[in-house]
Parts: sequence; C-alpha cells; structure tokens
Amino acid sequence: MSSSTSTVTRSKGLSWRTLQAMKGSTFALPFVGGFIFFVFIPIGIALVESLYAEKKSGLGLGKATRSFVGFDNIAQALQDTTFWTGLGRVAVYAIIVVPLTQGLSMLMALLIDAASRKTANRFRVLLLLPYMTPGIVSTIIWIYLYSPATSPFKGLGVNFFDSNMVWVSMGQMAIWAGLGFNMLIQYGSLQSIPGEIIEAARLDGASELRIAWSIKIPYMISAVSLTTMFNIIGVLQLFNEPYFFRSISPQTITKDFTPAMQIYNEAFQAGNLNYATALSLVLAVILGLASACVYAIQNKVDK
Amino acid sequence: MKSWKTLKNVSAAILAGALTVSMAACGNTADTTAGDTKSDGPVEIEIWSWDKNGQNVVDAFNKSQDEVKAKFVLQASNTAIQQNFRNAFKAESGLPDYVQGFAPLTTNVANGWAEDISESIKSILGDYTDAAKSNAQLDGTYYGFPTVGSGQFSLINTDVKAKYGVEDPKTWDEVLELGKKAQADGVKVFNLAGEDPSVLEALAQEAGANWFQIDGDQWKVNFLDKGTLKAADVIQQMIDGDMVSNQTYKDRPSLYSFFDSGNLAFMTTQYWSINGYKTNMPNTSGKWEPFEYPAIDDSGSKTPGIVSQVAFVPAGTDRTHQDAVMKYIHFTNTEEGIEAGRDPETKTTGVPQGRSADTIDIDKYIKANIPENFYSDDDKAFDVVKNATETVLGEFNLGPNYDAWFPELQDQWGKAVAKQQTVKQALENTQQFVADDLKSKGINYTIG
Amino acid sequence: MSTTMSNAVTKTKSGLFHHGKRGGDIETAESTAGQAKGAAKYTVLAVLIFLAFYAVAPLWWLIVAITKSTQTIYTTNGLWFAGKFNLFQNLHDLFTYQDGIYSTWLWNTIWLSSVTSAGAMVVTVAAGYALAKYKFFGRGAIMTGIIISFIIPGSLLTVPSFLLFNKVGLYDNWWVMILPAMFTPFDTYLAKVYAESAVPDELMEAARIDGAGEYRIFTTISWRLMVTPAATIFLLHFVQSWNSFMWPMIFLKDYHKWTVMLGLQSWLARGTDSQYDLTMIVLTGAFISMIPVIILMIAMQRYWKSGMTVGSLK
Repeated sequence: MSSSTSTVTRSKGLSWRTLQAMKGSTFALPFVGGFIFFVFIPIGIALVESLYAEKKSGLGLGKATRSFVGFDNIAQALQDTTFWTGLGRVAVYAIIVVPLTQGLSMLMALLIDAASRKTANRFRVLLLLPYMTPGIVSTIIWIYLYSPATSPFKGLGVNFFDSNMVWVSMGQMAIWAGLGFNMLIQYGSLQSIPGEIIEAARLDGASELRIAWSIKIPYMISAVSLTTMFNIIGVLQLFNEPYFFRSISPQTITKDFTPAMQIYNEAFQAGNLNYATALSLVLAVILGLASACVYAIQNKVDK
Repeated sequence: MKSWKTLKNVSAAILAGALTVSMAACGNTADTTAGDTKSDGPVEIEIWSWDKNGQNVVDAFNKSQDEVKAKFVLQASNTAIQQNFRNAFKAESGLPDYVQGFAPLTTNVANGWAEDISESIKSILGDYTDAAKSNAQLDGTYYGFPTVGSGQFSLINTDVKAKYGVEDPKTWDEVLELGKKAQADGVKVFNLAGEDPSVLEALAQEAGANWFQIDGDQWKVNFLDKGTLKAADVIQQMIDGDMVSNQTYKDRPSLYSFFDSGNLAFMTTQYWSINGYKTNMPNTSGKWEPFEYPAIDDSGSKTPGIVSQVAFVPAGTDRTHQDAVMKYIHFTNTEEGIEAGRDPETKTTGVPQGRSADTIDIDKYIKANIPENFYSDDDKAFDVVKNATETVLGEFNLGPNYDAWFPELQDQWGKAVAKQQTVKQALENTQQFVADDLKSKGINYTIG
Repeated sequence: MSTTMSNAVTKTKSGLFHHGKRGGDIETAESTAGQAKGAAKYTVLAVLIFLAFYAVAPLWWLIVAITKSTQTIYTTNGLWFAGKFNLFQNLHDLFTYQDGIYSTWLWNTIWLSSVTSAGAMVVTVAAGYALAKYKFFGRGAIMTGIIISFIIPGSLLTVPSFLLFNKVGLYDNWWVMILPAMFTPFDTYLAKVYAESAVPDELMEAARIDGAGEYRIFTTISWRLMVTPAATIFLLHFVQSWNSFMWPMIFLKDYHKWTVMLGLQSWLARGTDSQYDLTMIVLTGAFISMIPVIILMIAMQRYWKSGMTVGSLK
C-alpha cells in the first residue's frame, strides 16, 4: 500500500494517470474473468450454431447430419416475413407500452422522493409488491381478474379476453409487473441530488412541479435511459404475456406471433436450434440499434 | 492490443482450469449413471420421470430383488424432462436408462433418442394389450414401451336430455341434431377449445384416418383423406351452426363455471378429468350420464385415444442395462408395483391402462376412479370407463416432425374455431406446412 | 499506513460534509430537501395512495384465495372471504405435501439467494466503480461485451451453458447456482451508472492530493457513497434469484436441491396435467414464498435514506 502511494507521488503526467487507471481496472478483474467464462463463452458457442444446419434423409429416422452452411441461415432469417411481421407488431406495442411504463415509474420514484421518509418507506414496499410477485402467481391472478366468468370488471362490459382487447390486456399486465423494478432503479438515481440545490430553488419560490421538472428529472436521465433501454429490449423480446394469451385467443396469437415466440418455437419445440440462433442474431442487431438510439437521445438531452 | 488478447485468453484458460479442479475437489459430481457393468454387484439403472410417487415405486422395486439397483431422478415437469433429456443427449453425458414419455414414438426415433429394444422387451410383452404394443412399434421395431391413450367416452347433462326428450346420441349426427335443438335456447352442445385440436385428431382417428404412414423409403402424408374430411365436416357443422362454446383449458374458472351452468349439453372426456369436474362443478354433479363415444360412420362406436408420449430407453444403452430396465418395468406392471405408486396424500392411483387382463385386475382401479355422486349412474359409469379402457384404438402415427407441425395445427385450428377459415382449409394449410417442413429437413415424402 | 494519510482522509471527509445539516458521519446524514412542502404534500400522498392501490389490489385476490379450499376457490366470489376458513388446512397441506419438501425448497432459496446476491453485489459494484471512474485500456471492450450480452435472448444460452458447465463439473452441484449468478452483466452496468453520479471525481482527486492510493480511496470513501446503489443491486438480484426456476431445473438433478419457484412450477404443471388439483398448495406456497422477500425489503429500508450522497463539490 505505502509503496504504491509513493509511486503515485513520484510519477508525473500521463504515466501517472495510466498507472492509476491500471490500478483502478483491477476492481473490474473478478467480474471480467467470470463474465468471460460464464456469459461470453456460452454466447460464442451459441453463435457458432447459426453457421450450421442439420439435414436428414429417407424417412428421417435417426440422428441428423450436421453441415457448415455459413450465412445461409442468416440470409433466410433476413427474408423471413413471419419474423419481420412479428417484429413490426412488437415495435408498435413498444411505442405505446414503454413510455407508459417509464412515465409511470418516474412518477412513482418522484413521489416517493417527495414524500416524508416515513411515508416513503411504507409506500416503497407496497409499490414493489407487483415486482416481488412470482410470475406464476401473477398469471393465475390475472386469469381470474380478466376472465369473463369471474372478472370483477365484467359489469363494465369489457371482455379482456376478446381478440380486440388482447393488446390492452397484455400491456396492462406488463405495466403492472414492471412498475416496481423501474421505480427502484430510477429512485436510486435521485439520491445523488445535492439538497442545497433544491433548497435554493425552493427559497427562490419554485413550485414542487417546477423542482421536479427542472432539477430532479435531469438527474434521473442516465438511470431512466438505462431502464428505457431495458424496457425496449424486454418488450421487443416479448414472450410471457403473448405465450399466456395464446390459448385464450389462439386465432390472434399464433405460434410465431412475436420474434421471441418464433425463436422459442424453433429452438425448443421444433428442435431447430440453428435457425433459432440465426433469428436471434438478427434480432440482437436490431435491439443493438434500438439501444444505440436511446443513447443518442440521452446524449442530446444531457447537453 | 495483441498482448491484451493473449492475457484475456490466458486468464480465461486459467480460470476454466481452476474451476475444473475446484469443482472436482468439491466432489458431488460423480456420475453413477449407466456405469457399472461388473458381473458381481447389481446392475445400476437410472430412471427419469416427473411422477412424484416414482421414488416410492423405485424403493419398492429395489427392496423386492437384488439384481438391479434403480436410482430415481424426479423431473420438475413434462417441459423439464424434455429439456433435460435434450441437453444430456447433446452433451453425451449423464443420460438415464429409462425416460418417462414426453414426445410421440416417431419423434423419439426421428431425433435418434430411442434405442431399438425389440429383443430385450420380449420378456415383458405379455404384460400388455395388443393396442398398447402397437403404439410402441415403428415399422415392426420396438422403440418404446407399450402404452395406450386414455379411452374417450361421452357425458350428457341429464337435465338437457330430459328437456329435449332425446336419447343418448349414439352417433355424431345425433349430436348435431341435439345441437340444433339446443342452440335455439342458447344451450351449447359441445365445447371446442381454440388451443386444443385434439378433438379433430380423435374424430379423424375414429373415422379411420392415418395422417402419416411409412411407404418404403418415404412418408405418405395425408391430412385430407375421407375419414379426416368426414371428421372436419362434423366439426364444421357444429361451428357454423353456433352450437359450440369456446372455453379454454387455461381459464379453468370460466370453463368449470360454464360446464356447471347447465348450458353445456354434451362433452367427451377421459377418466382422469372427472375428479376435477367433481370438485369444481357442484351444481351439475350427479347429472352427467356416461355413455360410449359417438360413432362417426356406420361401423359403430370406436374409442379414440391418441398417444403422444411414449417412454423409451435412450440410444446407446447396452443390453445388460436394457434387461435391467425391463425387470423394473415389469415390476411397475404388477399389482405390487402399482400399489407402491399410490399417492400417499390422496390415496389414489391411476388406471393401469393397456395392461393385459391376465396380469392385472383392472376393475378395482376403475371403480376407485369413479367419484361419488358425479355420474348419474355409477354402475353404468363403470361399464363405460371399462369399455373405453379396453377398446381404445392404437396406432395413429404422428410422423417424424410432430414437434414442428403440431403448433401449426394449433394455429390453424384456432382460426377455424374462430370462423376465420374452414376446418378443411386448416387441414390443407397444415398439410402444406408438413410438406414444406419435411422438404427443408431432407426427408422423403409423398402427399395422399 | 502512514498517519498523514489517515489524517488526510479524515480531513477530506469532514471537508466534504460541512454543508447544512449534513453531519460529519455520512452514514447517518440525512436531508429532507427533496421532500415536498405545503399543499403539494397532500397531492403527493393522494397520488401515492392511488398508485399503491393499483399495485396491491390484484394481490388481494391471492390473500382471499388462500383462505379457501379447492371446492370454493372458483365457485365463490374471489374478492371476498367465503365458505370455511381453510387457511390453516392449506398451510398444513403445503408443509406436509411430498414429505414436507416445501420447507427444504424455501431454505435452499433463502441461502442461495442471499449468498449469490451478496457475491454479485461485491463483484459488480467493484466492477461498476472501475468502469465508471477509471479510463483504463479494455474498458470499451468490456462495455461492448456487456451490451452484447443484453441483446442475446437468454433462452438460447441454456443449451451452450449446459454443455460448457457440464464439462467443467458444474452440474448438480451448488456452485452452478452460485458462481454464474455472481457475474451478472446487468448489475455491473447498473453499478456503473450509479457510481458515475454517486462518487464525484473531485472527491477522488482531493483524496489523491491528500496522498491516498486508489485502493485506499475505495475502502475509505467510495464504497460508502455507493451503499444505496449496492443495496438496490442486492435487492434486485435477490428477487431475480428468488424467482428463477429455469437454471435449477436444468442444472440440479436432485429435487431436494430445488428452489421454491421450481418446486411451485413443478406442482402447478403436475396439478393441471393429472387428476389431482394442486392449485391451493401452489397458491399458498406462492404467498408464503413472498414473505421472506418482503421482510428483506423492509429490513433494507435503512439503506434508502434520502440525501445520503454528496454531490456538492460539483
């Protein structure tokens, strides 16, 4: 420790900075090692699959022969109209659901921040309950609350299982389940606002709304862009809700209704892992582009 | 940059090595499957199943003899057993010696999963009925264990029956007639779930259809034969005449409450659904009259039962282990084995279907599966369930690519039930899908 | 460690916290500056009550449901108690079904989630701090790798992961539940985002001028500023770990090692595929499984004090 301290004081300029950065980078070493082994190598193995295809012959009984086909699978994926139609669907859905989810969670985070600590503590737990609810339970609950036979809302004349309502019903489930998660992350970013700034603004006669808009929200931007990015990635990979609604409204929700459903069907039902990987790769590039857009917008807002 | 890459590679390799060592040191990873073939000790076999009472059966088996030592691995669900088997198969390690069925016979063969057990299974073939045996063979070779589908039978609501003064519908045409009468009062004659085309399959099977047949070196695919079209026609008439409800099995509360409302006249079912009905349909309990599955043509009533899950021995299992598995399976076919599988909580056990009457007294199991006060006539229920169990049809080949086409049939069926297309169009589209899929896989086929 | 240095750090600390009511001890420092004042207070409260109602109301159904029996759950009004009060019978059934395996699953999940979340928190907060505060060589590559991992559908990784981990002996073994979960890219990314604003560069520079080394800065200053982010990461990871069922399904062979969610999934699947209805056991089990997470959340409240961090040097 003391020797390194003396090195720091002795070194000057660029090398001093470099040494400091190198030391700093050691904080990331355990993560990088584990990440490469546990996450990146499996990704690599998966991607190799997209370059192969399996063929059978005769009656198709017995193990298939595996052959290298290069980018054939990717080319096929790029021309797959089912895939692009599905992507169009989730894109439209994302345009509506993402802003709603993010707006509502920002509102919750701001409200918790603006409430007294006692109130905040109480409400934080309540608002996080949907997030803590296990998926299997929320499915059972929503079946009950949506079902035309049992729904408490049936008096309103709304049938949540109607094929025209499927999108609304799915969106509502997703928003409910996603609230707590986004709120928690966004709330974390509100913690770094210096109290003096807010106190000064209040002394200048700024309203609470004005304080939230001009001071608090700008501080939330990096966290919000993170949750937005994840929200977009999550929605474009939409699977759970349509998978659940498939049996409720099978004429609308087909086996390849969304890209993620198509990938799941190819990989785990039809056993066509090669093509599924190629589809995922195309989807990944699109998700990458979407994330890049979020960042471009964030940078603009930041300036 | 280059040195960084090298560093990365080296550190990754070191980490991988370190992990291997530390994991091995932790022990706990010894793979005891399919290993021991020493002649002195017992043969060790591993059984995969998602029946939670399987452990008790295996324990009882191990106690009953000392030549084979079975190890039971409980799987979380049907999905779990499927995924775990696929993974182990791909990794070529940790495969069991026996897997509870999760896919149709031909799928198991087409994927190279199932071993040819024609020789080793001979010792226990006497345990089974002919229909069960036919479901375990592909082109004369045994690739799985004999089994039958649960025989279908009919239930009619006695109130509805009295109201319209009809007899039990012996044929589907009579079902349609009742449907027409009942529809005027808003009573539905049948339920067609949009996600479940099994009614179409069952009717097609009853009408003598064969969607997939082996013809030399190619598959003969026919979703549009006379039998299937007859089945499609019956269903189409029900849909067009607004005679059906569309309750989904996902939404149990709705399904039960509709079935229990008195507005459903007729349904087809199998014995294991009845407990659920009994529990959740208090108003109509005691009002369901059981009778045989309606006939679709002049050849009389037949009992459909399509088998889409066949248990098998994984490819590569040697003869010694196969024989050991046969000893275990034979034990599960005995009264002792069935008793060991009795659920300790509910004190119930399923009906051992497909077992030969010489070895099992099936009557008492059927009786035990007739809940009090659900059927309008328990004695008749016994006869009907017994008849369904004994006469259930075998052999309905689901082809080498069932995993791919079944979801497509579901999609097409859902559209037909919602009146967006006809049932015949649904079949045509599915057949086209099957043809395209087989072609892309390089499998030979002909249509019709 | 030299005495000059420790003095320097103390000096830095007190120098940083001289504003207003922020006292010298950052762990108890607290500000109410963010809170709304006056009439706005009631508006805030009203909207919060409304949102809380939206969040909690659907769960009311679950609370009512677990007091019923298989016979009454779907045949009586789901939003109010009816029939025999069956909660204790349900609890009894839950804890005795399948030889009382539920308690084992619950315990497995509690310790696994705690250990992996603590591990993940340490690893990812350190990594996030490095990525946010140091411009070292390879930083861009790591960030790119993290982003790539986000956009590849996770379900596709189950097969390759199985093949790889099986080879290195990580199968049917507790380590497979612990190790991979500690290197969650999302947590690292989140830690980076938080560290960027929670730890001011000026503060680190000040400490450096006072002669503190990089490790010293982290152990004495930076980690304290990241308590709230770390708690957030811990909680997020805990909930995720608590709800996971795919990983244990694939990697744990012995059902005594299963987690609560895998067990419940298994019961639910069996309940609908066989003649025995396990709905009540699943619902009761699900309700009980939420309690530890709620307790943890309440216990961790103290890490979410408002106005704890320092940005006043900006």
